[in-house]
Amino acid sequence: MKHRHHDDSETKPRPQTRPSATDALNALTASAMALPGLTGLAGSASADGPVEETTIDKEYSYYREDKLEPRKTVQPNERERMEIHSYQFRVTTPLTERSDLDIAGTLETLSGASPWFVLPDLAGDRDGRPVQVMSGATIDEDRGDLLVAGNYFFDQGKVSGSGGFSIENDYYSVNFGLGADRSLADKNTTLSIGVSTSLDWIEPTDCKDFNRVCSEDKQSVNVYAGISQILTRHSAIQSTVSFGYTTGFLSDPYKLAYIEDVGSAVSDSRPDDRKQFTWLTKYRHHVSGFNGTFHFDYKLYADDWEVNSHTFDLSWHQSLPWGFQLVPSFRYYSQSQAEFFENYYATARSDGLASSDYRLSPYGAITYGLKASWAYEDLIATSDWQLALSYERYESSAGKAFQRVDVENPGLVNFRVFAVRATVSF
Amino acid sequence: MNNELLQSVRRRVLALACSLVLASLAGAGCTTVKPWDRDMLSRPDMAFDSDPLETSRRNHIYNSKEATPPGGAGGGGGCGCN
Repeated sequence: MKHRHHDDSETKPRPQTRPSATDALNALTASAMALPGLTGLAGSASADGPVEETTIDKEYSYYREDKLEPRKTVQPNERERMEIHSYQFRVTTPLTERSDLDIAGTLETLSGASPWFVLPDLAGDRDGRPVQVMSGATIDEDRGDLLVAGNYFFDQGKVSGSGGFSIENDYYSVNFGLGADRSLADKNTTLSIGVSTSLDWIEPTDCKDFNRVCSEDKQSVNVYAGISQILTRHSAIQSTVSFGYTTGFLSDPYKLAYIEDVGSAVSDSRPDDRKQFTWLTKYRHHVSGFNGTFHFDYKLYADDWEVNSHTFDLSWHQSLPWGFQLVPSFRYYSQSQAEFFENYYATARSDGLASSDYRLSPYGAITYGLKASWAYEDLIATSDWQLALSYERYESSAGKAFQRVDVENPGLVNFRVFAVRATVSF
Repeated sequence: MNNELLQSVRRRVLALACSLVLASLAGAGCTTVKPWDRDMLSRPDMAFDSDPLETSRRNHIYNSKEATPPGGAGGGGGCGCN
């Protein structure tokens, strides 16, 4: 993507012999200014000026979860899980000499079944091993979201604003964000701060039939502060801390937790607020000899439900002749359990909390993926085109966790994602 | 390995990771790369978010399947997340 910039300091005399000067003038360091966009879509943040061209992305992706393994359930005919067909688009376009606009949306259809509650398997020598009970293939719904973000650039920084919403059959969410960047030290350093908020409402389907809540809401606010730093001609680092606070209905109305001594299941019930801390660091290093770039991201997370996690993301971006690029990637994730989580409860907790959701269980996960893309400049008139195909595989288990886990939650998920994308810039 | 040992290893890995980040940030304060020397840094694959559409897809999936939020400046829309 090409970017304008408005930095007068760039116009000072430079040695005429340097071939890189023109590039530097045209596209002042993606990394110098690249700060995380609000809600992750303001990719135009990756420069110190508005985008120069209009770019349209269109992507189709297919997400499919593996069937539950037979040993993890006592319902041999209820092993199917979710699949999602998703259509995404994104448009970035210059507005004025100092501003640009970023619009992104998703339409998707979700179908299948999800984990409902966990039972102890008391048959034979199973010794109370937890087994999953699924919801049955009852889920069939659509979701749409839209996010609009704008950036206004100053000589030494920018301000950004965003607003968006997400709508499902039973779930509504709106979100807003504000952010600001300030560059220092000849743009070797960029500081960034921001705040975002979201308001969510849920109206669970068949609430009366299943004794679910019929209407609930939650609110969250998130603040962040970050620093981006050029390290060398070939490397840059960015580190961002964020604090989130969510209050309201944080339980999952579609899940139950089994209480052994009373022989029945109760509604999933979690605390009514949550404080979250995230520290995300990204490192980029270009290796000229291989014409490739190494990406390394690490995220540390902790919250007051006592979940903490580590995420390592590695990828290698290999440029090839004729506009081809290959990107193999690997991700490792490990989380500890929420303090109140149990696969099932021997007896009810005195504070009334109960959740057997696999997402609050202790486990680890790996993702490996490959993306191949092909870019062609001036393919039709002066438009540039790019086609990309990608595949990712995610596998989670207790055995992959950083720490030792005694009993694995049977609801842990494995999935694959296939995506195809076309991009045009003009 | 017992849990205490694992905890201790985990704390050390974490301390090492934090030290590396802080050391590189501190060290970087002493170096400057002139604008005309930033040709490598301006490559699209050097961006901190080199594929925002892919990032938003991944964040959405991981946010609905794991306990950890995307982090960074991310915020944005919720979901029922079955």
